[in-house]
Amino acid sequence: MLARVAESLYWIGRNLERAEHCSRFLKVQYFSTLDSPMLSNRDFTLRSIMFMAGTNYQVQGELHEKDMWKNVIFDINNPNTIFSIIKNARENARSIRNSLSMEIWESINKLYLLCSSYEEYKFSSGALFKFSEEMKSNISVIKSNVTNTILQDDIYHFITMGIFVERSMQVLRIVRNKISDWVILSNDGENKALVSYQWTILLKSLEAFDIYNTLHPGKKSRETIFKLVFTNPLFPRSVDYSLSHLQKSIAAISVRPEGYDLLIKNLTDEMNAISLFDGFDDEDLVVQHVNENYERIAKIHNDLHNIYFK
Amino acid sequence: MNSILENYEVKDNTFDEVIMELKKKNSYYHGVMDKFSEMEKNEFKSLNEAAKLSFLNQGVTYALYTKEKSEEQIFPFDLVPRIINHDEWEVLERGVIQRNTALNMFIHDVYNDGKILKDKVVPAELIKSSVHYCKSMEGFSPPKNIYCHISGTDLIRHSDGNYYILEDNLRSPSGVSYVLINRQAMTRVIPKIFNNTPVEAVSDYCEELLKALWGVANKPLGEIFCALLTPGAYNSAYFEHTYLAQKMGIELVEGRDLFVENDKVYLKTIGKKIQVDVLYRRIDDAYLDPEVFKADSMLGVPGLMRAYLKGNITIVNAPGTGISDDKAVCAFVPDMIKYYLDEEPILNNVPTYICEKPEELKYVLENIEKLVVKPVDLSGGYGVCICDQMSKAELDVLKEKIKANPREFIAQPKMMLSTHSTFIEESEQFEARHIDLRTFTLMGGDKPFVLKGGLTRTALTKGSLIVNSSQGGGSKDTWVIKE
Repeated sequence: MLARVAESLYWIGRNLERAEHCSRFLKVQYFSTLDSPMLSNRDFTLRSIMFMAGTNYQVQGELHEKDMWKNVIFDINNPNTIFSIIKNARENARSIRNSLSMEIWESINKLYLLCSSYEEYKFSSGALFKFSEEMKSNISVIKSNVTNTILQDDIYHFITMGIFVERSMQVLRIVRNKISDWVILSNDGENKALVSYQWTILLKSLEAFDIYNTLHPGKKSRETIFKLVFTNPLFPRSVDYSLSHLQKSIAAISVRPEGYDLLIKNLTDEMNAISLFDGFDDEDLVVQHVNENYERIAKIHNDLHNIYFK
Repeated sequence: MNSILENYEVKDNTFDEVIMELKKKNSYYHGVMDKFSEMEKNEFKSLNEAAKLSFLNQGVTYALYTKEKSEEQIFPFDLVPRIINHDEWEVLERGVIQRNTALNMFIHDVYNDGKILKDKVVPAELIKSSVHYCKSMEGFSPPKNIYCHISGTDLIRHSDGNYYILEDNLRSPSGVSYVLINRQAMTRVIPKIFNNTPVEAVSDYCEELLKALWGVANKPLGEIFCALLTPGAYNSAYFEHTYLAQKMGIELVEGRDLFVENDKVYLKTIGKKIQVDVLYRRIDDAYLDPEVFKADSMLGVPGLMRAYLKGNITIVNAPGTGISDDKAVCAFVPDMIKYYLDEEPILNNVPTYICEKPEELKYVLENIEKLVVKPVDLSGGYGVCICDQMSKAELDVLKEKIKANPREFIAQPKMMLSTHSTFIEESEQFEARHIDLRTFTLMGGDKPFVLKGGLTRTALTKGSLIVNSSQGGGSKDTWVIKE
C-alpha cells in the first residue's frame, strides 16, 4: 500500500471520529442548558462548547449563538469546525477513492453534501438537534460501510487506527473539559446540583449515561464515572477500549517496518498507565493523568506517521 | 411526428439525427422516443433529477476553473440517447483504427528515420517547431512501436450526413469514464428504455485498457505492475483517474508516490518498494520529469525518463505524441494514411488551412469571416474563434495575432455539427442541440479495440457549436446497435 494512501485512510478515520464527537458534544452540552440546573448559565455553556471545539472565542462580553454556530459548525477557514473536519474527511477520501469501496466513498460524499446543504445565516437552535442526529446517522452509515464493504485488510485497519487514536484523544478532551467546567463552577460557588451535573453531561457526551446507570444504579460518583471512561475494557468509548483496539489494528497491518517494536512498546506502556492509575478521587491527579495520557497518545500518532506515512 | 417533438425546430442546413432517423421505418429511435412520449412531463423531470442526484452522490464531477476560483460541477447529462446504426459504426471503427495505426507509424518515423519528413509529405519544420516535439525520444522505440495506446478521435456529422474528423487527442484523452457512467445512469434510471433495442455494451472498456497496458510491458503477464499517474484530486479529470484505476484494479499514484533508483521506478509503500512496469500517465509531458522537462514540476517523477529510455518502464501514452495532436499536423493525417498504409482514408478530415503556409495564410486572412480559427495546441474549446459571430474589431485583432504567429493557428470552414433532441431544463422541452462524438481507440493488446459508442458531447446553449464540458457542454449516452 502507498504510504500516502495509508495516511489518507488514517485521517479519514480520525476526521470522522472527530466530527462525530464534536457534533455529539455540541448537542448534549447545548441542550443541557434547557433541561437542567444550568438554565441561567447559558453563556458558560456556550463557552464550554467553544473551548471543547478548540476554537478561539472572545472571553470578554456576551456570547451569541450565531458566533457559536460559526465557530463550531460553519467557519470553513477554521480547521476545527465540523464543516472543515467533514470537508477534510471528504478530501482524504477523494484523494484515494480508488482504494475505497464505492459505498464508503458515496456515503462520505453524501455526508459532505448534507453539510453543504446547511446555511450558516439560516441556522438556528431549532435545527441543531436535526443536524446533530443527521451527522450521527450518516457517520454510522460510513462506519458500517467501512466494516462491511471492504476486506478487513490494511485499508480497514488504517481507518480504524485513525478512529481509535482520535476516540481516545476526544474522550480525554471531554474529560478535561468537564473537569475544567467543574472547577470553574466550584470556584464560583455555584450550587452543588449544577456542579455535579457536569458529570451527567460527561456521561451523556459519551452516550454512556444508560450504561453507567446500569452499572451503578442510583449512585453517582466521580470515581466510578472516571473508571468507566478510562479503564472499562467493555465500554467502547473508554480510553482502554480505544487503545486496545488501536493495538489490534496496528498488529493486523501486513508489514512490520522499522520502528514497529518501539511503537508497540510505547502503546503497551500507555495502556498500562491507563489501567494502573489509581487516583480517581483526586481531581488534580486526574487532570495530570489526562494531560500525560494525551501527550503520550500524541506521541503514538507521531510514531505512526514516522513509521508508516513518511 | 412523435408528440414530444411537435414544436421541435431544426435549423436549415442542419442534419438532425433524430428527425432524419425517424423518417426511416425501422429506426430504433421510434421505440425510444415513444417511451419518452409515454411519460408525463413530471415523470421525466423526476428521472432527470434522479440521474443528476446519482452523479452528485457518486462525485461524478469535474473541476471548472475560472480566474477567481475552481468549482466542482456535475457534467450535465441528457437522458435522450444518441443511436448509431451498426453499419455506420462499422465504418467509423475501421476509420479510426486506420487513422491511429498511421499516426503511430508517423510518430515512430519522426523520432527515428524521419522518412516522411525527408520525402516532404509532411513539412519537417512543422514538426520540429511543435511545442510537443520531444528531443529525448529521438532514436527510441517503445514496446511494439506503439506511442498512442489510447487515442480520442473527435468527429462531427456535417449537414451532408457524413462524419468528419475534427481533431485527434493523442496525449491524455479524457472523457471515457463519462461514457461508462452515462450508461450506468441510463440503465439505473430508465431501464425500460433498453427494451427491444440491441445496444452494444461499453462495460468491457476497462478490461481492454488493462490488456493494452499489459501488452506493452517488458515483463511476462502475471508479473506486471501497472499504475495510473494523476496530477491529484484537484485536476479537472480526477474523477476519471480514480474511476479507471479502480475498475482496472491498478494503483492510482501521484508523482510524490514514486521514486527512481538505479533507473527503475518504484512505489513508496508502507513496506517494501514495488517496481512499476507500466505507467498510464494522465499528466502532460511538460510535468512528467523535472530532470528533462519543466524543472519546477511538482507533479512528476525525477528520473522517470531515464528509466523509460532504458526500457525499465513503459509510459502510456508515450512522451512526444503531442506532435500529432497539433491541429496543424492533423491536416496531414490523410497523407500519412496513404504514405504508410497505401490506403485511401476511410474517414475524411474537416478541411484545414495551415496558417504557417503563406498561400493558406493569405486565404485565411482574406476569408476569415467564413472560418473557424483555432490555436494549434489548446484543447477543451479554449481559444476557438467562430468568426462569423465576431465583430470587425475583434476580427482585426485576431488577424494581427495570426500574422504575428502563424504557426500557432489553423482555420477550418464552419462545419455545421449535427443536432440531436435534448431535454432543456429551462424550457422543459425537447430541443435540437449540436453534438459531436469522441471515439476511444486502444492499441497495445492483441488487436486494436474501439469502444463501441464513445462520448457524445452536446452543446446546451441554443445554436452553440461549442460542446466542451469546460464551456458548458453536456453529454448523452451513445448507443451502437448490434449487428
